[in-house]
Amino acid sequence: MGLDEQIEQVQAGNLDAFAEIVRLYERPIRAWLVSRCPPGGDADEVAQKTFVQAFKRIDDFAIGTDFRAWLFTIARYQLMAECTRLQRMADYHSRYAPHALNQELERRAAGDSDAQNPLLGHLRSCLEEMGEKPRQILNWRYGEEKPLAEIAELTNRSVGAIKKHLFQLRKALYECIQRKQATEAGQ
Amino acid sequence: MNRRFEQLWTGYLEGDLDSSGLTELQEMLAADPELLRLATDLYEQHRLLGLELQPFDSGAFVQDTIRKIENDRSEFLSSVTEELRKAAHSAPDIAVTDRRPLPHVGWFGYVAIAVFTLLITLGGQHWFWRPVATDVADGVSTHAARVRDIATLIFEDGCEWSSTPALQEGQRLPPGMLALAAGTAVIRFDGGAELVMTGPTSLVLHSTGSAELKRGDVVVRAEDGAEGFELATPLSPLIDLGTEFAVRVGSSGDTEVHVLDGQVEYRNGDSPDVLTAGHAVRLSKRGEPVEELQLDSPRFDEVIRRANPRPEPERMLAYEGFHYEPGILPLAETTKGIGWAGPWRLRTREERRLPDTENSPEFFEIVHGQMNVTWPVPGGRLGMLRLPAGNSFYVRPLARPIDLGRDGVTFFSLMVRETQRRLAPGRPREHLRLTFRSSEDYFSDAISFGHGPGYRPRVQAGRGNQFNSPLVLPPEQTTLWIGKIISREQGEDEIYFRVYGEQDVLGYAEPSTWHVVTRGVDIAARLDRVLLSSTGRTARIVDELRIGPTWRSVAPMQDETE
Repeated sequence: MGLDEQIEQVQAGNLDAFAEIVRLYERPIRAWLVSRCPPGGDADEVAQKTFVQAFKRIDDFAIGTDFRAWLFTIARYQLMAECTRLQRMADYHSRYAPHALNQELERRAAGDSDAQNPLLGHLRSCLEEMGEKPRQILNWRYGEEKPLAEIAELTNRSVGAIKKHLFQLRKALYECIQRKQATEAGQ
Repeated sequence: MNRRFEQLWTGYLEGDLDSSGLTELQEMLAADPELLRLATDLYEQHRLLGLELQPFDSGAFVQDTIRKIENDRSEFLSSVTEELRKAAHSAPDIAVTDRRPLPHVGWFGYVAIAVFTLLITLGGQHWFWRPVATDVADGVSTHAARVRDIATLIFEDGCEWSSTPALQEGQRLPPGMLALAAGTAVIRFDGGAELVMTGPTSLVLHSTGSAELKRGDVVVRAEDGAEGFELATPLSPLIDLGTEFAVRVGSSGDTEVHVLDGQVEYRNGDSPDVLTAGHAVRLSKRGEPVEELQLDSPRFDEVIRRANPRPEPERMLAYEGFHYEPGILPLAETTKGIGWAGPWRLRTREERRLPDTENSPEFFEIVHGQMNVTWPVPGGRLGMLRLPAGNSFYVRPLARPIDLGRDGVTFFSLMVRETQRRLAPGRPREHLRLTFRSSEDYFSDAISFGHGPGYRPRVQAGRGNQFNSPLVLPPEQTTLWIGKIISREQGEDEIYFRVYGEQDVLGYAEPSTWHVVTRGVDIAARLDRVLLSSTGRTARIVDELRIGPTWRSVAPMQDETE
């Protein structure tokens, strides 16, 4: 079944058809929101609100037009609402985020014309190119969310050394992504 | 990447950067656009690493989302059923009661049933979507969201608006033109900048950080975090570099800029230039300064002082000051105050759920002089209500309901004294709440302000929507609770809650930040009951409950005396 047919079914009230759409777009929507969501915001919650709103507004969608762009527009509005909510919370900037960083994230979110996120693909490929040990450290830190003290114990190093190592790994990944982006731009 | 950035950034990502480190990082990023770009790239990468490496149950996400939609739908259908049931019961010539084995249903009842059947047949969900404004983004026509509000009208004095229907203090503002014929108004942009305009002035709101002055006088103040605010004028865009400045645009477009503090960037011919504090200039048509002027614009605070923000007690919808003699007062005698449809009472059996038995005292204990009032507000000195340890649930009907189905703004304030902070192991069940409920649907459509066992400010709205502040209330203090409800006929309602401690300063207008801010709340009920509830093992004292349409009607300052 094509996407337009699926959407027609959703417009007729078929929730199972909408579940398929959520399944299809969950990853790209979350990937975009995760990278643009300001510190303290819950990107997955914003993603869920995006889909709930999309279902509520599905009658407004014109079959044959770009559903992905329509969905990402909803995501952008939901993200802006989340940013506004966070900004209006007392002590937000002193607890969570440098103001300049938030402004830059908002600027990028507003300027994303197609909400594609090529960064994720490059990141995945750079991770694959990494050695097993550094990847293990990143996996402990991000995948299993182990405290730094535990990672330090597992590796027989100090917490300070682990922090430094993490910074170097992030930097190496950043440089790898930059190289891939430059190669892509040159092609 | 310099070494200090490396240290700060790692500390930031690992969550162990203290407030001075955060400030240093902020300053570093604000001063270096290249470093800011790098930090933002690294932040994105950091978040994407979590996305890529953390296990995620996609199936559960889909199921949760679908369950949320189903819940919304079933809530809608049950509310329609309930409305129709009520309509059938209240319609003349209809008697649908449990006592009649063969109820006779009149014409209205048949219509109601037919409409209900039609709703069910159509699947229901098409009926509870709200119409929304149209947006065009990226060339895609979409009805994805209502126009986003970008600012708040936080103060108005004698305003006559020629561009729009009269604006209400506290109202949120979307992008668009504001034409002020007379009076003084203060706009706070969501980006943090504040602008005071004096009529006649025409201003176009563009975004959370920009506006355009077509004509008239404004003073802009953009303090920490709000710098970068851009005010377009007919002759030059003016960018606030963390400062305060005044702008005057005449009817022919002639523009004066007075820099009261800090710096302002403007266009000098084709290139940007900076005006510093203490300078005032008139700009040419190319945006160049052609004439140095005397700096004669009043400062932001001076404009506010001249407008003289007065308390507005006359605008209160309801007031309870517990102005009784100390001692025991039967509930039937709690008739004082304004804006009430009856005295305080215990919950009826239909209003009881948790706990479903009633053991609240059938009287009020009135005490005097037990608050420590540090704000220049009236009240909190004579009569006040002591809620004893144990359960206390008291209800009072409002004469004028808060109608959440209409566009409007409602504030409330309540003075609270916590007599003892229980820090027992576990989570002691200490609650204090002020809840607005509907007599038509007592349990569903309610908005509740208060704190739970963790002593954190909390708002509960509708069914299951709970919003908690991460901040803990100051212990064993007198606090002033202030809440704000923005109701909308179409679109989400917004609810705000802030608790002022004894050291906090109360402003002339609502605060720029709140302890709790809600999202995704949409209630259309008429709230006509106030429920005061206190549970736990400690006594509490409450006083000065005010409900009104403006900040100044519930947070009265200075010249009122009890």
